[in-house]
Amino acid sequence: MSDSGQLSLVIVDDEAPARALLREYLAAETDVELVAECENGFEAVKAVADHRPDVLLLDVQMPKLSGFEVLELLDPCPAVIFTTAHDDYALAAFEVHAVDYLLKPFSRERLAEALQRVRENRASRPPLPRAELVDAARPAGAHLSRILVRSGSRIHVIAIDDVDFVEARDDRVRIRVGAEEHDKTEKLGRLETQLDPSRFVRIHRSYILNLDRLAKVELYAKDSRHAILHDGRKLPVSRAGYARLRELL
Amino acid sequence: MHPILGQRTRLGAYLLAWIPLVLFIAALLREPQGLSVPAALLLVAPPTAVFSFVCLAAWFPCRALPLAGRPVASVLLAHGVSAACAAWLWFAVGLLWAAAWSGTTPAADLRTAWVDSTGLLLGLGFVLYLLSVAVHYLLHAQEQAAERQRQVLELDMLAQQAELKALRAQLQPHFLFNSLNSISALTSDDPGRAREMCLKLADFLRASLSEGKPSQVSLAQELELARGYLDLEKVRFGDRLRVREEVETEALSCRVPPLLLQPLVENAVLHGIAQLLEGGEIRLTARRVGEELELAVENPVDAEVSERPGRVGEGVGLGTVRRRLDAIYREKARMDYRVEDGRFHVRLVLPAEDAS
Repeated sequence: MSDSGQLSLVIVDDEAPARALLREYLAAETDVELVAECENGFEAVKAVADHRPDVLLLDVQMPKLSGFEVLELLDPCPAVIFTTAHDDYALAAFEVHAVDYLLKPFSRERLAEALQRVRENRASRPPLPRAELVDAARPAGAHLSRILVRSGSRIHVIAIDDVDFVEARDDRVRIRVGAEEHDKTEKLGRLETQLDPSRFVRIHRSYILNLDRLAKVELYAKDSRHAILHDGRKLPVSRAGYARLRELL
Repeated sequence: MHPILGQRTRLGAYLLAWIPLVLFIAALLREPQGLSVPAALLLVAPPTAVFSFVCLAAWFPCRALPLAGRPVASVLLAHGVSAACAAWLWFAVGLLWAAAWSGTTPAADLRTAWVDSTGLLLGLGFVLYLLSVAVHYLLHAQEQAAERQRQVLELDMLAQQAELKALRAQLQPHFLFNSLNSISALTSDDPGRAREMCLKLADFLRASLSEGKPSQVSLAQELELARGYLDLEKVRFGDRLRVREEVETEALSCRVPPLLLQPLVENAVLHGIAQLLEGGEIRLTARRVGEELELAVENPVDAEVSERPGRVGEGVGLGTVRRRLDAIYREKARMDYRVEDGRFHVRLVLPAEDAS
């Protein structure tokens, strides 16, 4: 994080002309230091981790990782100015406390205005409420189709179909995919609300199960049941969880 | 409109059909009454001519009493009554006609001959009128079928126009704004290219937005439009977007509906190239196979999509293309798509018609 009056900045856009334009506009901003240019979300996550910039100029529609998904993976998150040709994300951008939302094509003055806002808010900017990030970018009613997990500078994109079950671990969740497991800072209850309820069931306070993996439910003591998965693994099923399962099966 | 009176040729044919009938009736009356051939014709022809027009009036009860959804008895009764009236009318006209000849040489014979044949004449008149009813019902049914077909065609036309309009409206605004952004970027860096891009964008917009275009264009024209679009996207995506064309010269002159390829090419960029970090190659092929024109668009897709066939569906773009092909060519055209080796293939097969 730079001190004094300098603003360090990273450009993220998959289109070369768009990056060139931003570069040109920024040349007039004497206090802005361009520390990295990224062509996609993966590069962006890495660049932010490496450079800890003050500002991110972020495109929304990019291959593999959208701008919103990039934000979900950043910790800490710099001030964000979205640059996009789509006006449909303005509300979502507002929800994730983006500093500004620039609609392409925009003028040099419009960018300068957004940067001015960053300078003014620098001291008082509230931290991004990351819990809302995933929700903001997804259309209302749509379920999660993949889960993004970051470990160091590596990013895993886990297709939701591949998830066997999810386990609560303190303030994190552990996502089980075959022999692999991925930890993510997230609450199990919140994740539950984002998943398709006809396919993922909260079978226990600490477990969400992908129904496709369920082989059978076994009673092993009075009122105590186990879910047996196709690969033989056993998960505890609570009484409420069993009721939910029965409703679906 | 009366189906026979309204058309000269039909009226002519109808009246011609009555000539043998007149001859037949004259023959029936001549022998038992001992009339000469001219006298029998003189007696029969004029009243029967009047009767032939009376029979045309069967059209009105036929139209008023469609056969479908009515009790048979009531229809029969209605036509029976009118048939009886028509037969009586014929007989009365004949009687007056024969009476008008009284005093001239063969007069007595004519009147007696007509009156003596009362039963025969009334029976014949009844049957002839009913025959006319049957003919009118037939004509009515035929007319309705034609009308229905016309309506179906009209609806089809309307549907096609609506589809085309929708296609034009579907033009991606994001594509436009991104292109404008690229132009904005090029203006200081490379003004020549910025201008070139402006012109290309103008050409593309003109071709894709213009109303009142012909309902068919040549494949060459359609390819030109697709190329213009891809050129614009190349400015945005740079090396990520590569295009290969394999177009047979014989295919170029074939007629295709306007904007047929455009949604396919847009899909290839939007769902293929734009989703890939490294981009890839879009392949356009067009060839003539016998009487058919085969068009194909192919693009790489992200592994996240290609490994899960369920993710590839018939979106709005492909759905529109399929409906348009169905509407225009019926079962003579088809569309299929598949994902194979990490690439999305879509193929259209339609009748090869040369643009005249």
